[in-house]
Amino acid sequence: MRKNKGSISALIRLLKMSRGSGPKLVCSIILAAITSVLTLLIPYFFGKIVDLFVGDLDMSQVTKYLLFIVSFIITTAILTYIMNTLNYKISYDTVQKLRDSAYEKINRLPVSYIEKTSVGSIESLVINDCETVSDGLLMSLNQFFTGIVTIVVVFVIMFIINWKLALLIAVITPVTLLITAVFLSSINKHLKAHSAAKGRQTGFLNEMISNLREIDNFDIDKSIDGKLKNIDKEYRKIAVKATYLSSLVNPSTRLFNGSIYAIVALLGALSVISGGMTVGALSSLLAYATTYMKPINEISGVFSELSDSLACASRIFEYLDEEETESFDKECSVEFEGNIELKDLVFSYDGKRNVIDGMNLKIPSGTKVAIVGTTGCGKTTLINLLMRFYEPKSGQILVDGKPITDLSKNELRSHVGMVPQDTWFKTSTIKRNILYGVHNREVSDEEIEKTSRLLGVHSFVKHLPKKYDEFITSKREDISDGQRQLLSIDRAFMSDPEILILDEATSSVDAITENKITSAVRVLCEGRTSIIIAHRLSTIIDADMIVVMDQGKIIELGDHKTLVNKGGYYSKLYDSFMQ
Amino acid sequence: MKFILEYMKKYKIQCLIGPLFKVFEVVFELLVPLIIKNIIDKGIGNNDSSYVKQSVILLIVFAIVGFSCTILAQYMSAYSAINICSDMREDTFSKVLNFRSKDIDKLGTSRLLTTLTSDINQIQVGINLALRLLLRSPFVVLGAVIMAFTIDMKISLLYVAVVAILAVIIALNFRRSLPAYKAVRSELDNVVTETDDGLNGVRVIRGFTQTDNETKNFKVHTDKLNQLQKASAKITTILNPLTFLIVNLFLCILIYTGAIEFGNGNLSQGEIIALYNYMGQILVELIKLTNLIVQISRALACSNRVSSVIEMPVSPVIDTYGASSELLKFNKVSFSYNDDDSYALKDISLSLRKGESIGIIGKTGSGKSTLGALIARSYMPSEGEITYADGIPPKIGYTMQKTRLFSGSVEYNIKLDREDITSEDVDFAIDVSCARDFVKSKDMELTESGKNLSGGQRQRLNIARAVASKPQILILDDASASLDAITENNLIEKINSMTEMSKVIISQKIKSVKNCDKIIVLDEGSIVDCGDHETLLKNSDIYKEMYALQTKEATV
Repeated sequence: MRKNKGSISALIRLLKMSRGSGPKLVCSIILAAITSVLTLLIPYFFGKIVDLFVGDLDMSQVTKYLLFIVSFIITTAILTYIMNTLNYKISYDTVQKLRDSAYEKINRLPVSYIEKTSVGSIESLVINDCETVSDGLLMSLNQFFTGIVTIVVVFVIMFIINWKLALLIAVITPVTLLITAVFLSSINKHLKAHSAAKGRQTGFLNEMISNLREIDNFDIDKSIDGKLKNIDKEYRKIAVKATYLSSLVNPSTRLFNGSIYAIVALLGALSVISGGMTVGALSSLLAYATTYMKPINEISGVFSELSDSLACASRIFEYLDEEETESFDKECSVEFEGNIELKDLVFSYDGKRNVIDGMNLKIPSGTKVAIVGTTGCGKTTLINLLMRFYEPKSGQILVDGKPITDLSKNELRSHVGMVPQDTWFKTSTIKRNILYGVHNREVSDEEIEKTSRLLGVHSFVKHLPKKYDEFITSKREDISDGQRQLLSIDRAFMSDPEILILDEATSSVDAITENKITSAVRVLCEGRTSIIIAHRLSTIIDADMIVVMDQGKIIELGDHKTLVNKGGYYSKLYDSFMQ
Repeated sequence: MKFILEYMKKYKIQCLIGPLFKVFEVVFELLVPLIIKNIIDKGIGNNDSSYVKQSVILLIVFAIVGFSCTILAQYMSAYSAINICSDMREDTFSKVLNFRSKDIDKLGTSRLLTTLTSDINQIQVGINLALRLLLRSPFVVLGAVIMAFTIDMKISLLYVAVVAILAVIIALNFRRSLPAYKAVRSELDNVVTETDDGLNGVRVIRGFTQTDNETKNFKVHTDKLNQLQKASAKITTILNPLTFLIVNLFLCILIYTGAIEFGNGNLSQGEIIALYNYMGQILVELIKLTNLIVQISRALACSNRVSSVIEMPVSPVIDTYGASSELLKFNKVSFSYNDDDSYALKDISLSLRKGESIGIIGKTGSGKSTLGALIARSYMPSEGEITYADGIPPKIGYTMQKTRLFSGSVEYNIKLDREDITSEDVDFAIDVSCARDFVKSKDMELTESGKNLSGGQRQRLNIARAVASKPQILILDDASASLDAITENNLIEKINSMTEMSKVIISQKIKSVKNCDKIIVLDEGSIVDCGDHETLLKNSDIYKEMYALQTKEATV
């Protein structure tokens, strides 16, 4: 019962969502009703004509009826065309609307949700589920209405022709429906197993396709290949069963249909012999006996499609209802200096272990601060909190004396330029990526080249066939990781931020290039607050302040000289580095 | 088309039995109007109610026999469609696994994934429908025409005309709808790429406050997809009402000429009903056929995409190697990613003996990682020759710069189904890679791509799985970039203690390579200097400069 309720509310929501298509949907349903009535009247008039085929044939009567029929046919064809056009428009507009909101949702969900959920499953929701809903739901809705109209009209006409036979058919029909319903519910289990098996298969393929190079390197393609075969072995069995069973719905009702047809033929013919009705009436009745089963078939098909797409719709809405942490507020430029202060900051990913465990720190505007510590000590987490990708468990971060929660996220982030540890670029041109963080400002090609030259980007871009218009993707092998990092730094500087965050920004860059760009970075950092995370201590020796972290706490603080002389953890780290 | 037929071969019998029994079903269906005709002309005409009863029993028998034929046919077609497509999926996947890195770069992973999943699913739907209906519909049409001929030759010519006209219309439509649908599929690839970008780039997109723009940009692509879909649907939508219109108009002509024939005494009432019924059957089947055509054109467009993957030549793999006295020897090897003259590596000659270690150092983009990938045989040289001891490539453990872990346990990620790796090997690997301090248990579960670990932790597992197989050559490509200095020193020490293993250590840091027997300095794809640490300090400008930069802090 609850499941039904969920499905119904999903349906209502979907209809609300496709409101723009509302008039179209209503038109489509009305057209469906009209065309099915017109289509059904055609056999009736043909029956009338057949009845004229006795003795002397009245050609003028034949022509009269034929003209009726021709006008019906033309109207029906035109209306059907309009209806189908409306239908595909509704369907494609709805899938687009669903996809657009599913994508927009990605941008509003907390980072933690996206990083916890597998990329493949969200992707499959945006691509496949949305399509299933638009194809299935609206179309089946339409078929459902046409089906009902057809059944009603057919019965009315059959009643007019011969009420006794019509009554007989009316009694048998619920039996058919019952049989179909029982049959459908019995195969439902198999359909579910089918979609689960398909999900497993897709999940597996998704992961393996993203790890192709690893599979190649470790030479495990045979065993991976075998795994798919194993998954498929099970899938084949389940899929054949489900597909076969659902393809039996139609023939079964057709068998039933055949029997009804035979009964109508028998009783009808006997009734004609005894003078109860005309041959033409029998012919129309037989034609209707065939047509009236069709919508019943369709409706039973519609139910399985409907439950399938409603399940998808509920899944989509469940996803769309996930708690949002992001908003699209427009940033309003307030004065921004870049003084940062951490106050008793505590954070935990799992609620158990504190990754940041009571940090206090003041970073005055315009200074260069370095954060060092063993891997997993919470350096990147700190950046996550500062950028508000995650929210602290307790304590706060202040910027220019104001808690960052008072600023909108976009406002805060628009003042920060970030070079993340994992480089990522949009599948687009290098130029577009360099200008990725640039707001409301025209940037000339000369300006791009100037900064790119300084940061060592130009020296490899100039060798690419299309230079800055070359496409960069996450898979492109001929741009090295070091070069990607340079691009990433370029991108951050082009956004002209007050605060700059470099998280292992040059870990894959060689010493010479690094040295060359370090001076450039120094110049570019002038007047900006910069936070640098690095294992390579050479890049941070000139920092105004070095923060040494261990297990989420600050254990040492000071500039390079002070810390080395102190002979604590940092000096040990430095010795290791210099070895 | 040929491609799909090739796959059907294995299921020849099922693919033949299915449609064959569909044909039987059709035969029984086609006899129905004839029986009705007889009921009207003979039964009603002669007031013979026992004839009517006999005929009706025949009708029921036909319905049951027809049903039996159908359920057999449905099973055969479901069985073939699913097995054919599973075969196709497995073959495509095997092929993809055989691809060289270069081939994967060319196709793109999102394209490969759509092909393996949704393209093949479309084909499955297409085959299943085609086996059930593709033969059935033309057969019903043909049968109906033949039956009509047995009733009245002259009028039956109308049937031939209607079938011919519709065949032309369907064929023309098919030719136009195929490319339109192809365009839809390839735009869908773009939408997939955008979605992928949106998910993987979540931090950067937010960090640069691009969420608004990305949402707009996504809409640009869905808009385009929407337009292409509508354009494609526009072509196919006309088919259905047009068929309806033509067949019904012919029906009117049929009745009209039938009436004239009847007036001339050439046609009975029963016959006119039979003719009418046959035309009705033709209509139903043709409408089914037009819907089928839409599905088939989709399946064909998808099958082209699948076959282009399966038939794509794998970039050549060299599998016979010359023998050399060394474990591995590069002789004037050059490499280009795009098979043109933009060489990433040029004229590389080097050799590696058992137990020897080579360091590779050089500026960003100088070709270090590419050289590592060539030693690991991920890429094949464009020019030059690689030889091995006894002509047999050595066992290699390769750690790439970018770490990608699988979802599953730590043990699985280290073992990776390699049967020759024992549980002791796994433990050994965890120790060597300094991963023991965060790997509390080998059953520790990793999420997709190991997202629940820090960058440095992932790197250590990456090293662990490379050393687990006790390779003859271990290639470490910048494997310690995300490690802090203390952990890194521990790691270097442990790696160096495996003296029987040859090592190729690629790094930016002098420290990582200075203990190597031989250090190669790369610049713009060529070896500029080679020697041990002391020699290079004397002879190599680049090395000297790097060394000076990396040690200058000592004097700050």
